[in-house]
Amino acid sequence: MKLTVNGQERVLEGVDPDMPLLWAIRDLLGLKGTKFGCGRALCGACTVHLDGQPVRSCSTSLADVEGRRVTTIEAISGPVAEAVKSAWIKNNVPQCGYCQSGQIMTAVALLESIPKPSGDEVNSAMSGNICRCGTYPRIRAAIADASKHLGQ
Amino acid sequence: MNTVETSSGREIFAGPSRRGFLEAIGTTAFVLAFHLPVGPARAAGSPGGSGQFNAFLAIGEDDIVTAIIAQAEGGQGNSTGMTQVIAAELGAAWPRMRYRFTSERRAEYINPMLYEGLVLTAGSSSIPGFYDAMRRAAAATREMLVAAAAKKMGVNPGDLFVSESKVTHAQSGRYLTFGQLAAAAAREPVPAEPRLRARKELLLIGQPLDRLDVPPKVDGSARFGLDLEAPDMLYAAVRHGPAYGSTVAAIDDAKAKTMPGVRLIMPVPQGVAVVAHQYWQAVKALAEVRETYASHPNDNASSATVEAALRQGLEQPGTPTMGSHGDVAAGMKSAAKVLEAEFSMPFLSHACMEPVSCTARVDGDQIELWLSTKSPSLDAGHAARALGIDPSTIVVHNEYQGGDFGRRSGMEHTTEAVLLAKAAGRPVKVVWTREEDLRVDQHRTAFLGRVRMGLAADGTPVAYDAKIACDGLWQRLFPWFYAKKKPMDLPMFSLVGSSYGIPNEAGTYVNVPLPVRIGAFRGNNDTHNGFMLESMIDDAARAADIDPLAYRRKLLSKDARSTAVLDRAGAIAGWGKVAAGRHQGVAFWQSDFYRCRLAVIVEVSGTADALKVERLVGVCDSGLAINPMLAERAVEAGMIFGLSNAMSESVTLSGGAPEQTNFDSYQVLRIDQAPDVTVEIISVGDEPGSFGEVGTMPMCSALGNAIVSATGKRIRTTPFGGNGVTFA
Repeated sequence: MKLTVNGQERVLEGVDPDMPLLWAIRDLLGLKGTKFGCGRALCGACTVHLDGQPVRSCSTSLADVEGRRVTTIEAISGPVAEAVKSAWIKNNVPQCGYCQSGQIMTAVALLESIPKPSGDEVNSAMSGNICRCGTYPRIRAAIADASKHLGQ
Repeated sequence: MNTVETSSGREIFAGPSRRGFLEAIGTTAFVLAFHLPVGPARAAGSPGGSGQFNAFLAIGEDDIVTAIIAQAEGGQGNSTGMTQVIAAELGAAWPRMRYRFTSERRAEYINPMLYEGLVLTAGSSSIPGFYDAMRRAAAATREMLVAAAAKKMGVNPGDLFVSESKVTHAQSGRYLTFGQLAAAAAREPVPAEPRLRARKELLLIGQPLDRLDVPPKVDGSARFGLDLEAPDMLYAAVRHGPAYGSTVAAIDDAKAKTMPGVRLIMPVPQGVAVVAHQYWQAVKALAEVRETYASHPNDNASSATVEAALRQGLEQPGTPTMGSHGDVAAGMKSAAKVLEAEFSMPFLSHACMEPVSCTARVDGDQIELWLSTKSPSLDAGHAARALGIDPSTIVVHNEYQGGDFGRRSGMEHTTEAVLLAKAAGRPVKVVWTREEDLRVDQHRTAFLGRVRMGLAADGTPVAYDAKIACDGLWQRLFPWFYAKKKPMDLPMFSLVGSSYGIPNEAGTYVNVPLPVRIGAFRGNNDTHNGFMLESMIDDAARAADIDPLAYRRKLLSKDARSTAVLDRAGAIAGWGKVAAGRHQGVAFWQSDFYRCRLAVIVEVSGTADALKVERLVGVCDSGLAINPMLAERAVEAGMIFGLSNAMSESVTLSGGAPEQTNFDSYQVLRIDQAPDVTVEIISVGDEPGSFGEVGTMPMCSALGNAIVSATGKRIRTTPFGGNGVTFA
């Protein structure tokens, strides 16, 4: 089983193709920034990018990612990612922080496809990511900041 | 009283010999759970030394001051706030401050505001509980730095001042840095009564400094309990029986034990576990395990039996609560009008984003735990009890917690991890699925309350009679503490005796043991009691045809801090001046324990069929705000948490089991329903108060009051969604 994770080709020997990508990332590759939240694609904590698109890694099997390109919070980069991370820091968004990897991965994907999202587009894109601490107003503010910064 | 049977349900071990053993050592396990240092930790300057001056800080030769944080960081920002207090008193430059967590159980880490003998993070009290101790430790260190500098410079200590991580000679401007002084300072005697800085010298106090934990939480490097690993560990998946207290009767593991990676399949106190090389292997094999459970009295528990038990509880005499005063019967008799109502709330789950996990290494008498915990004392105690050993040598590792809200300690996962690690002969990480995390929570107790409020002819409340039936947090979570305090328990606090100055009040608490595990929950019983009082006060205002904010303001007119938060909230929210189609509700909460006064205004639009929460405004005075930005965010987050509780959260029981098993059925607030929020902090005085939970407390009543404004309907049961309104 071969896949590219954060730019590096990785070979996973003897793994169950049914294994969710999440557990391969966390337990086999040791990348702990991607979080387990629900196991059923209901909370978004495990969001990674698969060929640039956001997916819930808890509900994506290894069989579905063979030969594909996976990016996690540890390696997300580029102007949009940098703008989003800077805005997250500037706005002091995280509280407990557990959901924030997934929030950031989803926000980066949103701004890569819609550079100037409306409020409804932000709510719609981010509604699959739960933050139990309730940092939603700060997530909105950070996305607005990042969008503004990218437009300059 | 005859309620749902639970006395055996609380004992998770079924065997009589086991139970006898637990009775023998059960409570003392926690008292023993301390590991006190054998001598002062003052290794600064010594080879390989830590630079640690005391329990709260270390100074390195690189000028870095490290605040040592024994309170758990679950998002509330205490790791930044506590570091800020130490830096302010010490005179350290903020960019040279760092922090590190410790899970050591030292006497210095026991919060004097909380339960005796426990290292515990609870009650929104990290800052208020340790403010004095941190300042004393930092002040003592500062005086040691000054003493060392005076000797090195050959000057009078009185001519030196400390700021920006330097000790400076005022007259000459010569200085030495903390790093240059640390080793010598560590050899100075520790002053017993160091001088604390005056408020005006505490330059960092009151500054809205950025959170220190943001960068690692943005780049994915922050480590939570679920991320911590033991060398050579295995993984375990567990499934618990349907009811609280279920025990396995038989296990069919014929297929599961042949599956790849499986090392061990065994019962745990409330269920069954599979240990495998990989977590996914354990999950997959567990799906093939077929187990049956012994019948248990809680198997028959349902939401209907809980309600019946609570209703029956209300018919019992109960215990009078503190705050009762005057003559309620006479007050009611004198009243021109008496309002009567019944209120209820369901069980809730914490639904922390990080599901429960625990990693354990059991290697002879060397035992280590890795988990997100708010109390290494409790978790060491649980592990020791499961293994039948002295807890004092158990080492607990804890970094960031993926949410707490009262959840983060627990008998079940700690017990499972140590029993499985012992049986497997290797470290084991137990990871609960979301389903187990929600079903086997330490739920917020359900409650049923009945209240009467007598109003004088001018509408002023003259009598308040409040009776509640629910389970008790102390009784369930801290039984040894409860044994000394009973029948006093947390639900009795804040039931009556509010700052509204009602002349005759009677509170009554009836403990009803409920058939699920009960634990601490953000806002605890202030949420229950506030829901009743603030709904009744609102109805009283409406009955008298007085504006609900003005009504409260008049009752609170003797306390300028209370009227200030109401006035500011009203001004920010544009109280009484909202656009057509918008409706507002207000609530107020005051608590001496939390040192808080808080006014919240909720603005809604739409109709009962499609109600939208548009905006929240909160103004909070909890005394001195160490970091107003952290305080603002904590109150904002608490309000959103309370809004979520009020709108949609409920745990219902069927066949003894919670019916909500994931985020499709346990619905928490998502961003598309989250309103705009404005919070203002009024910082007052020199004593820091609490911010973490206070925002949650008045939210149910504030939203309920807004719903009355919008629809004319008073809803007295949460969640409001599905109980009279539908949220858009």
